[in-house]
Amino acid sequence: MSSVEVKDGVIKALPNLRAFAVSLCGNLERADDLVQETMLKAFKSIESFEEGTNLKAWLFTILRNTYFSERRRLKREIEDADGVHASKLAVHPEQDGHMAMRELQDALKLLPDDQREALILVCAAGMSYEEAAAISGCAVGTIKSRVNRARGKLSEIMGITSADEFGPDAATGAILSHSTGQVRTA
Amino acid sequence: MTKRTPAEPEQMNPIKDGGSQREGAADKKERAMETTREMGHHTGDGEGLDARLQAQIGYKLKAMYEDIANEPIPDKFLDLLRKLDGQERGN
Repeated sequence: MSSVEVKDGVIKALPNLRAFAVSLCGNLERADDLVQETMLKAFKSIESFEEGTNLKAWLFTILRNTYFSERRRLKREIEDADGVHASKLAVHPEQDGHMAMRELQDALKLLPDDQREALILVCAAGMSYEEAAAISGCAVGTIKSRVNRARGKLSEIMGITSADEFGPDAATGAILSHSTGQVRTA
Repeated sequence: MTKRTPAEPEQMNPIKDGGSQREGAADKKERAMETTREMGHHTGDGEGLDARLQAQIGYKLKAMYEDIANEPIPDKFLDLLRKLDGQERGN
C-alpha cells in the first residue's frame, strides 16, 4: 500500500474515527487525543495492515485497543485509592450540545465498556455485527447479545418505559435543534 | 479476555482464527444468553423493548454520531497527517 493510499484512506476515515472516539469516551478533548494516538500507531505499523482489507475497521480497532488499555491502566491505578479520584476521573461531555444529546452521552457512560462499544459500533456507526465482532475481537453472537443488553440498559437508565415518553416529535425536535445549533425552548 | 497490542495483523480476523480461543467465561455466558433468547425465552435485559423504542434509541445514537462525523476535520489532524506522510516517504 503506497503512502498516498494510506493517507487518503486515513483522511476518509477521520470523521468516522472521531465520531467513534467521542461516542466511546464521551469527551471531545480525550477523543481527539485518541484519534491522534491512533494515527501515530497506524503509520508506525502500516506494514501490518493487510492490503485489500478494511482500513476503517483497522483504524477503529487500533483506537478501541488504545482506549481500553488506558481504561484498564487507570482502573488499576485507582483500585487502591479511596474513591475520591474515581469521581474526578469521570468524564463529562464538553460539547455544547442539546440536553437530549447530553442525556444520551451521560447514559452511555453508565453502560459497561463492552456493551457501550457494541452499541456504538452497530447502532451509531452502522457496522455489521460481523464487522463489530472483528473490531472488538469477539464472537458475532457476543456482539448481538451485548447490543441487546445495552439497548435494554440504556432505556432503563434514561427512564424510558415507552417510546411515547419521549415521543418522536420531542426527539426529532431535539436532534434538529442540536444539529442546526439553534436553541429551542420548550 | 486476552489483550492484544494494536495493529497485530491477526486481530482483523478474530472470527477466522476462532473467537472461541479467546472467549472467556463471560463471553460464554453472553452467548448462552443469546441462545436462550433465540429460543424464545425471555431473559430480561433488552427484552420487551418495543420496536418503536428500539428505533428511537437507534435514531438518537445515529444522530449523535453523525453530528460529530459531519464536523469539519480539525487542522491539527491534517497537519499531523502531512507530517506522518512526509516521514513515511522519507524512509
